[in-house]
Formats: sequence, structure tokens, C-alpha cells
Amino acid sequence: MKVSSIGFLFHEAWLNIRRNGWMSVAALSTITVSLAVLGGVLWAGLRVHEIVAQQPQQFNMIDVFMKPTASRQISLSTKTKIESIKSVKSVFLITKEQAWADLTHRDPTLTKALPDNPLMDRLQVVARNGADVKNLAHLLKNSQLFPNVMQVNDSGKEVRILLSFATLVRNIGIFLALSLAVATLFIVTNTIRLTAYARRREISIMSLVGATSWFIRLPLLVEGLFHGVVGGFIGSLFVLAAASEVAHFVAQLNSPLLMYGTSSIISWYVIPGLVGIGAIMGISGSLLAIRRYVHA
Amino acid sequence: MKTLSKSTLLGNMITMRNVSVDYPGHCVALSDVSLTISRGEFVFIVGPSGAGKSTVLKLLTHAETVTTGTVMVNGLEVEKLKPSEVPNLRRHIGVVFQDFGLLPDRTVYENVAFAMRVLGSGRRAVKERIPVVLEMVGMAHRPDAFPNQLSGGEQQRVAIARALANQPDLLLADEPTGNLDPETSLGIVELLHQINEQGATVIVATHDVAIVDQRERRVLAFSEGRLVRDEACGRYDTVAEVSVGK
Repeated sequence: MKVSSIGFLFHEAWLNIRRNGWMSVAALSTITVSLAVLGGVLWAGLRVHEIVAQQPQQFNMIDVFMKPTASRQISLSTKTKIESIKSVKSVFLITKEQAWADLTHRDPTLTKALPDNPLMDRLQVVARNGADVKNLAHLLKNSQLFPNVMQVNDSGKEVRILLSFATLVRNIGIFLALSLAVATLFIVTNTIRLTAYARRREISIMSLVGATSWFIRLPLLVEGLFHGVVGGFIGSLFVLAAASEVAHFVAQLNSPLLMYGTSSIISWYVIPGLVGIGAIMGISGSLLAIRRYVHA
Repeated sequence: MKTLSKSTLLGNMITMRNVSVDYPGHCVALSDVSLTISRGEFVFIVGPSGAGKSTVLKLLTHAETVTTGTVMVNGLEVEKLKPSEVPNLRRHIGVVFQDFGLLPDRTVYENVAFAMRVLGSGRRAVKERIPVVLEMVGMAHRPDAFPNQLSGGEQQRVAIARALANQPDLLLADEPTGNLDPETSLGIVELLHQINEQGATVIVATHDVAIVDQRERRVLAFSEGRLVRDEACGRYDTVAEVSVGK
């Protein structure tokens, strides 16, 4: 295709957009909102999963306290037994002597007040997956399997809340993303259909003088692409602004959940991401409309 | 207009053999039509509404397809063309309609330029060609006018200019004077005649008695989908006689 033809195609696409003024504004607004919500939901989902992933020390861990009567040999054999469980990543033995030394270092006044070391051996169990913690803790509490275990402490409740929230965000995200994708496709298709109707004279003349079917269709594709790309760009700015506000709000909460490092999500990636998704939606919507309504 | 060599002029521009077109519901648009039109000819296709005049023109541009028979245009067997080959056929054909078919939001210049740009002509080629065709149709003085600022005759001249912009070998005019007064109609036919004299094959489908009788060119008369008369220097009125006689 010649350069002058490409210029002509873009000129025609721009004429379409201008001629369909309010419909173009409506399409652009809806695509912007759709992609902003889509981007926001994806962002929130990623961020929650990131927060969960950043806290393995806290939420993947189970503390297993041995009975005071249990010998070191029993502690070690229990450690080996727990290590053989599939969902266990690792097990560390913290002897009562190590625990006493640690406590002495942290709170010497307390240890001085105590006549003897009342602590017991502790097995620190790290689960492979946060989701396994609940079942694993339940298993470790089984006195028949582990008769020398006195107490099992897990962060089950926190993990369950956080994971169910992450799952909820993910499910809502998938549902919203699919719904918005369908809505966006429908809107783009309808806009291009109206454009095709408004341009029926041009299309008829182009066809009559011998323009190829792709030459006739390209301005409509460019129009769909324009809506998708511009909608994605504006939508991504909304997401960035909203993310910044949410981050500011969350920082003020001083939540212990958020004290483990910063996000690895690069904010500006949301722009090419949503622009790309918008472009795909715009072209897909145009193709659907062209296939159905343009017979060149 | 392209300068056509003598050998090219001698060949057939159009050949139709035993062409029939049936529309759904057993409606016959054309029935067993055979004809040839040489390069450089000027032909009137006449007949009452529904006789099949427009169907013949549509077959030539592949806007309609035959049910049976063969249509050859400019050496191409039309019904055997793949969809991707149809644009190439149409690039050699200019078409003019009764309702002019101009783009209302574009000027005279832009309307004619549009037909060239969609075929890939650059700005320079457009700039050089448009004054020539507007001069040819007598509209060089109003390039910036919009269609609603022009009379019916002027709009038809612009439509002809657009049809000529890409230098077609064949010009088809479907009722080009249908919306015009008699005097303007004669002017449009005179213009088509001049275009024919410059080498293009011109086919005019009409039921305008005056323009056919004034020119006395080849007449193909249709009635109820059949070719009922093919007369070298024909007149319109004999059509009625044939129809009545049937």
C-alpha cells in the first residue's frame, strides 16, 4: 500500500469519528470506563496476591510445640516425620535451649525471674502453600499421629481471610473482566455498525470504482483501533490515579500486612497493558461489525 | 481518456451469451439474452421499468450474477471472477446513476478526488487529473461547490466527472437523465457522446424517448427480461410497437 493511501485511510477514519461525534464520545467513554474497571480489578487482584506472597514467613508457618517430657530424640524423629508430608516445604527444630537463649537476649529481666527453663522444643513448619496451612495444622494436631505434640499454632484465620479475599477479588475480577469485555465488544461493534451505515454512500462508491474490500474496511478498523487505544490510555490514567489514592489511604492504616516490602508491580506498565487490551478489543469489535454489516 | 489503439477498438467490449437471471420467487429479470457490444460503441438500452435494463448494467459490474449463461467484459469472464478479482474489473468501468450518488458533505473537487484516492492515486496525480475531467464535463468553474449548491444537471456532470476520473474503458449510465428536465437531459447526453468520441464505450440505460430519438444510435430494446430489438440507428418508439405486438 502506498504512503499516500495510508494517509487517506487515516483521514477517512478521522472523518468517521468526527461525523459520528456523539456516538464516538459514547463509545470512547464506555470503553474508557470498561478498561479502567478492568485494569483496576486486575491491579487489585495482583496486589492482593503479591501481599500474600510477600508474607510466607508469617502465613506459611506453623509452630509445633513438643510436650515438655519429649526427649530431643523424639523431637528429631517428629521433625523427620513432618518433613515427609508432601505439603511441607521445610521443618526447623528450635531447641528449648535456643529458645531460652533467644528469650534471655530479648528479655533478660524475665529469664532472671524464672528459676528454670520452662520452654519446650519447637518445630517451625513451613508449608509449601498458604492454602495448605489449615489442613496441615489439622493433621499436626492429630494426637494419634503425633502423640508428643502439645500444641499447634498456625495463622489459619488470617491466612483464610486473606486468601478468601484474594480469591474473591480474583473471581470478581474475572467476572467483571469478561462482562466488560463483552460490553466493550458490543459497543465497538455497534459504533462501527453505525459508522458503516453513515458511510454507506462512500462504501458503495468505493466498491463501485474498484477499491479492494480491505481498502474499504480499513478506515472502519482504524476507527475501532482508535476507540480502543484512546479508551485504554485514558482508562489507564484513571487506574494510575486511583491506585495512587488507594496506596496513600492504605499507607495511613499502618497495617502489619503491608510492612513486608514494596510492590514489584511497575505502575506505568498499566498504560501499555490497557492500551494493548483496548487495541485488541477495538479491532475485534470492528471486525465483528465489518463481517456482519459491510459487504463490499 | 485513454487512447485506444485501432486493434483494441475492433474487439468486443461486452459479450453476453444466453444470459438468464432469476430472482428468488421465480421472478425472471433476464431471459436468454445474447448480445455483443464493440469497443468504442455508444449504445442505448431502452424499455419500460422492470424490463431488465438495470440488471444488464449490474451484470457488467458484477453487482449481480447470472443464473445461467456467460458475460464477458473487457476480456474477463465476469461470473468466473473470484471476489478478489472483482475490483480489477470495476477499475475499468465508470458508472453514473439517476440519483447522482454524490457525497453531500464533500465539494465537487473532493467528490471526484475520492474516486481516485480510493484506488491509490497520490495527491499530485489527483491535482493534475481533476481539472482535466472537470473541464471536460463543464464544471471547472465550481470545484469548491457542495452538491446541494448545484442544479440537477450540474450534479450529474460531477457524477460523470467522477466516473471518468480513473479513465475507464467502459462508461455505464443508468437513467442518467431520469431526474433532469428535457433541455438539461440533452446536454448530459451530448456530454456522454463527447466522452464516447474520445474512445470510451458508453452504454446508457434509459426510458427517455427524446434523448434516444435525437441521437439515433444503436438501441437495444428490452421487454419483460428479453432482448426484443437490436437496431443500429434506432429510435425509442418502436419499442412500444414490439411490446404491443407481443
